[in-house]
Amino acid sequence: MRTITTNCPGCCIACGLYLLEFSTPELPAGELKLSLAHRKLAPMNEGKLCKFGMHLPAFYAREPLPTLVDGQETTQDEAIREAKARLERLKPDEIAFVAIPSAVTNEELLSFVSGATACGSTNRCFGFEQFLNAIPEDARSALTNGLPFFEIEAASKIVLFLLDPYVHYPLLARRILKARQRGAQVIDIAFAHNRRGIANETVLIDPLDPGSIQKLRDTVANSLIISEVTPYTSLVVISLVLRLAAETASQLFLLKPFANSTGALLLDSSGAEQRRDLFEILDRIENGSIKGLYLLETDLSAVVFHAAAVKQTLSQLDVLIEQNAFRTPQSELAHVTLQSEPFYRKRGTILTIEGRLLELGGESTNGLRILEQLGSNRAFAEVHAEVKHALGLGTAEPTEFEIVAPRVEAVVNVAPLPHREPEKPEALGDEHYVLWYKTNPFFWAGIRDKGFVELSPTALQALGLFVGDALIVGDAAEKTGFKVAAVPEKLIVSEDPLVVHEHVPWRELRESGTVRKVIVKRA
Amino acid sequence: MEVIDSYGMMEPRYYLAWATDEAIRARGANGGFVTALLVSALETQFIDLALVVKKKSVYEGVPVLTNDPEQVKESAGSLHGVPWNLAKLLLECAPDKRVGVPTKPCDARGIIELAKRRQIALDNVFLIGLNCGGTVHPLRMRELAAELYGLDPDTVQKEEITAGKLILRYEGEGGATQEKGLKIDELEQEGRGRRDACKSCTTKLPVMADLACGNWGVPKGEQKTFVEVLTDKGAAILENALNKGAITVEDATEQSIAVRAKIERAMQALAARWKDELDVLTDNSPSERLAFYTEQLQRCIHCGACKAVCPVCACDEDAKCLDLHDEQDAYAISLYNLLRILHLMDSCIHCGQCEEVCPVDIPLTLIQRRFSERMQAHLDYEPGMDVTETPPYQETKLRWSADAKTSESEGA
Amino acid sequence: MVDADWEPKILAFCCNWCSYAGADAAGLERRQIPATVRVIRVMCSGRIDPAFVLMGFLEGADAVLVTGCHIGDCHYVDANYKTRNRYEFLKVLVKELGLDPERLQLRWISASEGPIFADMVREVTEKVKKLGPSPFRSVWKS
Repeated sequence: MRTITTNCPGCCIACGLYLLEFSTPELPAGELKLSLAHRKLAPMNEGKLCKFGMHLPAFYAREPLPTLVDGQETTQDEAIREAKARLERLKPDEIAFVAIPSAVTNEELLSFVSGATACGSTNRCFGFEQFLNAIPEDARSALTNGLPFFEIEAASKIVLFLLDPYVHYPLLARRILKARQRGAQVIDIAFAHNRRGIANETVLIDPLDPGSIQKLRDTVANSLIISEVTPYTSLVVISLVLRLAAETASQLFLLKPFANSTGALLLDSSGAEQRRDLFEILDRIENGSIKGLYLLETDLSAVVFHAAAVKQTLSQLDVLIEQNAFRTPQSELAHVTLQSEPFYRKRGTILTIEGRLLELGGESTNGLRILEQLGSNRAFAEVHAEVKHALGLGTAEPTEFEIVAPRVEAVVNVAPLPHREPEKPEALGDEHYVLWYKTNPFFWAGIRDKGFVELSPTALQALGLFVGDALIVGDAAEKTGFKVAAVPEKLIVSEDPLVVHEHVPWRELRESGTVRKVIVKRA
Repeated sequence: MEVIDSYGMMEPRYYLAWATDEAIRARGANGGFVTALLVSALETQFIDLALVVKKKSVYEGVPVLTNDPEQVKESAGSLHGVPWNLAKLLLECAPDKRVGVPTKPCDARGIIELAKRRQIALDNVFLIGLNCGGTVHPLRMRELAAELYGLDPDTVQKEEITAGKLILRYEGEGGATQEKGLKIDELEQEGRGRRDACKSCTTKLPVMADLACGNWGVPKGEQKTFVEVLTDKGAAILENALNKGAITVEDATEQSIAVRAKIERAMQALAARWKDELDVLTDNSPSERLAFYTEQLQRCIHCGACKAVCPVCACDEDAKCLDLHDEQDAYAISLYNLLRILHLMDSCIHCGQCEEVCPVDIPLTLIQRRFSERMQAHLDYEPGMDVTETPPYQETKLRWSADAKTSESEGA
Repeated sequence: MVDADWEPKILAFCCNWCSYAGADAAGLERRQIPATVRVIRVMCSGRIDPAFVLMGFLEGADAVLVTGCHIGDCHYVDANYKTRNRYEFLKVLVKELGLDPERLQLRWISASEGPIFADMVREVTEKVKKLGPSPFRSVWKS
């Protein structure tokens, strides 16, 4: 039996846990069973895990990605040579490098950037580029700033902005409860009531009228605003929240959906001209201006979750290189696939939202070695030293109990984003509903964990639904169940990555954020 | 799996014992008896594997399943940061092997409950029971060191509980070892110290195991372990070590036996007081209870962690609490929680594992305890103590306790 | 406090061989039975999983009746012993949860005991009317 100390790749909290690897009588010799155990010394989660964390052994039992060139099995060295040769045939601005930082270490990130630089690629994406490119320099720290959870517990006024901790980041919920027990005031600003009652006050806002957020200045004054930023967060909402925080002298804390989001945001030193957001990259693939794509530990059809559309877009590529531990829906389109090790076997570090630099418990650096062969051929120690240098840590090896990430206080007056002033609230037809995605670790892994959406009793009657019925939301073919909940009449809440429009221009998908106007029918 | 066919209980016998090997005796706790016992059992192939706890840091021990006597030697020493229940781990990793397991009383009770459910063949498992005053959550111990002892937690080398004090040994200035002790009672009044489940646990001696080992009753200053032999299996593994010359034993004196019993009684009395203190329900009215259970259980996010770690739950994935529960139901208290409460009413051993892994801090120890203690008293049944007593919920005809007799006439 | 017009909803599980036949007999004898009761027929009271009873309460039943053959008369030898066993657990559970224990009843009714079935429904209806709606009725919170 082997005990592996590891962290969950499910979100930016990066909960600590043990994975136990052992042989059992039922398994063929040589194969190992993976099981998890709670690591109670982990300061971020005290060993506790959410449903996604509990799901990790199954998550890691997915089919591994073989190393292939044009569908033929080959050696890793051969595949790397082939990948390099094919990328070299393209012009630098025709190549995109995409790494969603959930199972990517800091070392791999730096390596990936230097690989992209070696190719001269001007399309680099770690998931948050639309915000980095649109938000003025002096406000950018609001995106990268983390907050140790003990500060949340000590806060006196907390505003949860479009964030239901029980769903979005379950391990955050207990911290807010602790703050409440200590007398903190907790205000929920949301599209729907939080069913599990975490706040002592709820302010409902209209999902189609984000401008109304600005009327909440008095409610929000001098608080700790907790919200999230994801590739799907709308720029309008983020710029409004930034302004709200600045104007009310509030502290802003933005959670992110991927384990190493903070690492990616702090370590990627690419300039604005080299960064390109996910949706624009997809757009450019579609119009033919990007012809080559290198995907690092990234399942695009999970993150963008419109699997069919992703597949259609990616099929236009001349060169698709996928480096991953597991097979993904786009693997069959890839020209070169490179097998890396699963996250729990990786050696390296990640940076959590609290600002802890975590050393992962694995021993393998194969993923890093692949990346280094594309560019600068450095050893692990060299890249690791560079990571620490970039974070201003010198030679110290901080433990998980230290908060090391730099934090820049106070966002100074953020000017409204000129072209993104909120428009007038949209009108809603009788047959229309507003769908709100409550994102969560399963959502970003492309897993439909719930199988139902939440709707109001009024909607239930209007749609003529009975127990056991199914719904069709939007014009996509997917059916879903439903659950009656205390949500506003015209709101539908989905915790699943439910596709509601099969083919939408990628750019438009980015603009609409986590809200969709949809027609709902009984299936 | 083999059905349990032989499990002899015997008249208890009391000894003081220690490791003959000087190195093991010096390193292990209380004369290294348990270490020597397991090492010799592995060396003579009396057992295939040992499931021991290895110290990862002063705050935390990690279970190790091994056939290597050296690893067992390394695991020696007592540690309070062991908040695991080993029952589920044993089931998962070595259900069919002959295993020696040093167990806290709650580990042993969990293993026995799993044996009752035909998950573990108890004939294969040697329960080396350890006296237990309670364990401390690793992170809480770290916080204690920093906040109350004023130490850098990383400099602490050893913790021990002696004469009512929690003593931390740490590397002071110039590398010299220093120590600082605080009264446990006072720590615990401030809500620190042992886990809540441990504070209110009244099972301090592992009398359900094959051997019960500990330092209660050992004369002061002597590096020996007080050993109570409880079953034929316990006698066999002890004899195996004796034949190999790995341990030395002497009869325990009447005084030793009496001292041990006295310590147990004192700790049980303290636990009973804690039990009352930790119950947050004030007037215990039906409306208060319903409000409390609803408020707490509605937070459940159905991660399934409490079931996964529960040492008496043997259903795995094919469980009613999972099958009948549907997240589409909008119940304030979900069927998952109600069924878990129901199914544990006769079997909960109050180990507190569920609460410790709950991501939304539902006070499950208290909730399960409130239900199960009532039922267990009603049934006059104590789970995890005797493998021959089947769980009453699974029985056809209930064995009634004296005060439950009234039900016989009901509805006639 | 309780609305005078309020009628409780009572869920009764009846076994095919005794209590359902008893309920049937009550009807054949044209006995007055309050319209508060909803009967679910099961083959044996031993089939009544405690989960069904809990589901009944969660779905808003003001009382749940578990009925079957008299002890010793079970069509399936000793299954109603199991019913009684589980009822003991449910009784403690329901009480501790904060529901009035009167809301859960176990009754043995034979095929010929139509009057007893009718009396039972009347009696429980009266009791529950005094107790008011089940506090478990609030199925979701706003």
